[in-house]
Amino acid sequence: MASEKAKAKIKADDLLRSKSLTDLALARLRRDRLSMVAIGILLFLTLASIAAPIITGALGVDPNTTDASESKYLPLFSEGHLLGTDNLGRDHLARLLYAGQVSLFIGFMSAFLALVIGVTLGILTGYFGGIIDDVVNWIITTLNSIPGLVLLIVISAVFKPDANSLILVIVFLTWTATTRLVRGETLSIRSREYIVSAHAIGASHFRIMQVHILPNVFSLTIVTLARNIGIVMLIEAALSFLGLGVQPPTATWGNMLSKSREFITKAPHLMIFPGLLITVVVLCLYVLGDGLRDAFDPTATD
Amino acid sequence: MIKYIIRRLVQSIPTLFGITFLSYLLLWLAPGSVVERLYLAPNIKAETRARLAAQLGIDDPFHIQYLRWLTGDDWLRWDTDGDGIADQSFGLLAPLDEDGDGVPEPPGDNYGILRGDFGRSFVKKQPVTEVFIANLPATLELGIAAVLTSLAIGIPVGVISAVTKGRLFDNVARVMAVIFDAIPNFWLGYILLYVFGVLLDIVPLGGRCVPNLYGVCPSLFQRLIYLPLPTIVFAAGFVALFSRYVRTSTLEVLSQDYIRTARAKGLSPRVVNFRHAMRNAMIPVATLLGPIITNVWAGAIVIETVFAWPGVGRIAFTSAIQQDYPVVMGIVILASIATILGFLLSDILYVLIDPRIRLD
Repeated sequence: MASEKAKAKIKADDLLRSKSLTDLALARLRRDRLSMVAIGILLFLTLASIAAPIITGALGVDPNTTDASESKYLPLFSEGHLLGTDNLGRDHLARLLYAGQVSLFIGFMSAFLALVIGVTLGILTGYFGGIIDDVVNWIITTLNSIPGLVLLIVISAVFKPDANSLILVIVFLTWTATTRLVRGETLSIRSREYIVSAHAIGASHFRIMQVHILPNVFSLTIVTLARNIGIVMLIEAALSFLGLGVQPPTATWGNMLSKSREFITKAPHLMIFPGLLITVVVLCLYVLGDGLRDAFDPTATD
Repeated sequence: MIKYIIRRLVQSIPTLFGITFLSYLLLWLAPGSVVERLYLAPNIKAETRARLAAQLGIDDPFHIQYLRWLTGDDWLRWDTDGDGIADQSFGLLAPLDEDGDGVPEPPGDNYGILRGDFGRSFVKKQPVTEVFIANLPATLELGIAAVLTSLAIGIPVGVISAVTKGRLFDNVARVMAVIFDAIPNFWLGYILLYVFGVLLDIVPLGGRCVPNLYGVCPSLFQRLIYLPLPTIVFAAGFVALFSRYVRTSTLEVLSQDYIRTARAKGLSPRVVNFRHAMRNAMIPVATLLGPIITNVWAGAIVIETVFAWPGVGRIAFTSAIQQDYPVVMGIVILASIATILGFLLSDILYVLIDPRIRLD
């Protein structure tokens, strides 16, 4: 009897508690089968990459052990090498897994840092306006007028970055989109009544930005995050493919492709898998991005 | 209209300034001395190096060098009596005898990038503008072929998608668009090269032509076989972009009152969709011109490398690898100017073809 009452109370609490926009959006996302499949594939590949040492240990292979004598260009399903070996006799599967670590890390980290910078600068410039706004806008227009990949190859060729500095270079070129987005949204929020009343009761600028603006631009940026990770991964792949990204022996999916043309006839499978993995990951991120956009669309109905 | 164009051109001056500043800053920050790169002698003596540095003016502070790069040095030190030795100079900015060896320096011969002089290539020893212009036709050929192809495919696909919204064609087209967005273009290029060049052996494995005896490419029609693969790879991303854009704008147009009127007066769906809807849905496509030009430069680097296509993208890439800074900086600036003009042109086009838009 008592427990039933308690249950009823919990249920009532549940009903009474207002659901935030984010809760509703996540609920919508959970019902979107395509997005859930994309999340599943992404999780699987991420976990497989993180578990690379365990998996390769169990298979008894190593990504950097070269074998120049017999086992170069082994085909798929060879003895001891599930996906064959490359031009130096290194295990292809092991390299793919370790490459996944680097490629995914660069993708996630760059997009995340660009998001942090974009949200911070976007809110600051949109909120304060004035000279900071003008300067940041000038920088953004300038960077957007230079074809990104052209600038990227120049920077990479001049400074020869490793995985970590490559992230900074990519962030340097990609923070502009989020900044513009957040700035625009902040501009429109700034003149709303609740901001004016917050001012009236003496809230500080910092508090207004933190409590009233940040949560409102948050969903907007989360939606773009998935897609941005995809874009960054394509940039990294193109750069590494050109031989200007992360340098071997550290493998990334992009730089595994850069030499594959030379043995395109001997071992076409070496070309297939890295490209396929990039495509699948980016595809999942784009699908997830679309799913998030639909889920967070305030005009959507349940 | 003319007022608007002038205002936009004036607005792009600070942007252009930012671009030159950024490129020069990159060169300034680059490791390794320009003297070594110019004279290809890493082990020259310290005093020789200092003298060369003084002669070349690369021991000057950043802002002086930047200014000289922008405006040239012919007005800083010049020759009035025609003996090839400088006898006039612009005060302390450029002393006649810069390196202090008692002999006046030769007169300045650089016009600066503001007057279109980007200097000479370290590697090819040619003026940068010549290098750029020599490689431009190949890139234009590929870029125009790709844009035309993608317009020819993307626009109809977008319109049909919008008309059949939610049905099979629409769904397939949208899935294809996402897939082609996600495929790295260089990888698509490799796959197509492998299938059509290696397995089927029906197209050449890259290149633009077999040059004739004079090292010149024959006319376009005699080398058409080189064009399809790079064009397809280049166009793949654009088709996705165009079809998505056209689909959205067509859907918007289809919900307008005049479309309902057209339907109500009994016009066939074909006439309504293609004459009334498609024409108006095309207007926003004009705004894509700017972004497309940016994408052509970026795509050119990757695709020209995959297909060994001798264009600006390839020269930009090889110059970056060889650290041939004048060429790299020249290409960055010229490509950026093209991008800025592309954005301006697309805005003007947009106003011109849509009478509903007022500038003020």
